[in-house]
Amino acid sequence: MYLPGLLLYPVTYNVLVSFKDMTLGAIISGHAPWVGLSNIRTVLHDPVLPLAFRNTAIFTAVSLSVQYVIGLGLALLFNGRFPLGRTLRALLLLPWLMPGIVATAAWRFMFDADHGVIDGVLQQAGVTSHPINWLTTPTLALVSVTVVNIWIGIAFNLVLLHSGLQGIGSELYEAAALDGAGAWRRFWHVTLPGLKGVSAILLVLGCVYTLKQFDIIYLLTGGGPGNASQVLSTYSYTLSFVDLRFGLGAAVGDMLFILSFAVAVAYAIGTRKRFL
Amino acid sequence: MYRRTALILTAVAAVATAVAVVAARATAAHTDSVTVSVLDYWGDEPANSTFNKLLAYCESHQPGLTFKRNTVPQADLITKAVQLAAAHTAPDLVVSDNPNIPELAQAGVLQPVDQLAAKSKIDLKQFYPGPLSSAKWNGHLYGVPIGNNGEAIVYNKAMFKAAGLKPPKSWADLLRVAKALKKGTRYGFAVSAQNNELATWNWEGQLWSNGGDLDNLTSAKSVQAMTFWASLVKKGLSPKAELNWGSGDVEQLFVKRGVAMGQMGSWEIPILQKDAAAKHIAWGVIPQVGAHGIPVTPFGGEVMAVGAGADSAKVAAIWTCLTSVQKPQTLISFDAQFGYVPTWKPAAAVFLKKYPIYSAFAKQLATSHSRTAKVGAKYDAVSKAISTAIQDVMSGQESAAKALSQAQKAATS
Repeated sequence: MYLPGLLLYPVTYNVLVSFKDMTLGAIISGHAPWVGLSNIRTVLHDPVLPLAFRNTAIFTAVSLSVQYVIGLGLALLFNGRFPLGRTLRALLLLPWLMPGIVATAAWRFMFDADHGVIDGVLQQAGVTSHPINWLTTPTLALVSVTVVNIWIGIAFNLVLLHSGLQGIGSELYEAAALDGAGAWRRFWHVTLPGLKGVSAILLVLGCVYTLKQFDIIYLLTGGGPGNASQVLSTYSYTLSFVDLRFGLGAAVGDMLFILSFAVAVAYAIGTRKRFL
Repeated sequence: MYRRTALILTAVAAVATAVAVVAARATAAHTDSVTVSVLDYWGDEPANSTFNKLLAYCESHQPGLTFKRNTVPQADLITKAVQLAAAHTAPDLVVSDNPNIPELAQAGVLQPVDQLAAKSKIDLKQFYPGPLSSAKWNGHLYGVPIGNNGEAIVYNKAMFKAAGLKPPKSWADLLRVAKALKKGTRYGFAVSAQNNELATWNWEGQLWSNGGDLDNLTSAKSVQAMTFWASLVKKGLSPKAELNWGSGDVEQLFVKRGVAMGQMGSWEIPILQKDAAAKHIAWGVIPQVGAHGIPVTPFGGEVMAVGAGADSAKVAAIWTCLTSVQKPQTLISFDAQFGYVPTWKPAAAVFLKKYPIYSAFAKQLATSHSRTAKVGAKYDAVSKAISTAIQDVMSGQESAAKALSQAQKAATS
């Protein structure tokens, strides 16, 4: 009885706000005038919205694929036994365990153009002769926040894929080996199909998590320079809590919700087919 | 007959009770305690303990008065104030950043104190006009400032001496001097241009000095001010990283001798005094540099505003507190710990004699301009649109004219 209320109330409230002219005064009086589709129309005509959609798509797609590939590689590596393997695996979890704000502060220092470690290494290695402003160059800002997000997400991918690998019976590999399958064919025909279920969950959770990602971007670039690294989540926050235009912020929030919901529905449909 | 007697008795009893209640209330205002709830964002030191001292000062001068603080992060103050008001537990005293006063007043979180101010012993004309105007909205006064801050330019004396240069006084000067002082990895000039109000308010002095204004961003003068401000970054005289820097980062670069001139907030001065002494840096402070001289600048700092829910006893207690601290000896220690300059002129004069390092800030404060004077409660939206434009131009994504026309559109949509 309470569960639907707890789950649905925030979502419903957000949708309602996006149809209202919600100002500070309206929050106190409780009477926000109904404005119909006006907020949504304003947001759709906003030149920042397509940019935020584009950035969200790039950020999510690149983060997910790179995290998955690196996570899978590491999972395969740690599936074999070697000295200190367990310790190393535990160490790789650190980024995932670290609070976002701490990790972000560390990355901010590392990205610093004149004194940061990344530029220092690149300059010493002769890759670049002048300092690179990772966070304040329009084309690099989104790349930089994506790198940090990948760094955080690898651990999550590693853990789930590793447990997925453990679940594939060794008899399958033995049978494949007897059939004369090489390492590559074993990977392609035994490992990957065996990881199908885990991978689906991983991608859905990762996708929803990445779509909603807020603190890394907000703390590293604030969506800038200008709007160069603005994604839907940071843009919705800015409209609501910086501009104090809660109706517009809620309208962008709705779009983000619809995206996440679509991913979840696609997953539900996909898994249903598989089990039927 | 019996009925009538009963009625009369009841009436008498009711009147007696009412009289007793009123009498009790009247005495309560004098003898019983008054608890004033405070909403502020001074959670960090030294602001936190400094504010506690100020409240303790008021408590010791008004027996029975107790303050109860509710401290939130700065970014949450407005929404917290509104939430509390919506739940009918509005704070009695709101310590708000001054550009937010119109928004809070318009939302109904604050109440005017015009009547008290008119009867008050304190002469409001003794406040610097800019800062006092920031406590007003729609012609009503909602509180008073207890000190204000601003940004000015700190310069490295040795670097100037070695180059045989004098501190700049105009745009042309600033470009020339910054170019002469730029050497290797050392920059000529640095200022915070972070993607928020910091970028906006640092540019406002430039905008106003060139005759532009916040309600007319697309004018040729506004565009010129933007082109100039961005040229410092584009020519490599200022670090591009300042697009992500706060005032503290500029201070750090200055202490590392990474820049000859750093525009930074007065609140950095207490920190800089320690840092520069440790590194043996001789430094001076000059006002901001406008197109043709000292610009009209915005000012920062809080307004002590009276909350809408406070009853007359609380309002009186708050007003007495706010006016009683406007004494030179009280205000000075408070503002010095904060890195603020007193806004009440008699205290400012005493303050500057003791702390002359703040005189450039005080000079600006005397002619400063409220950020909300032209755009009122819309300031936050305008400010965000401008900081985006500044970043777009400085990072080379847009021309000044195009970025400002987009900002004008975004701010008014």
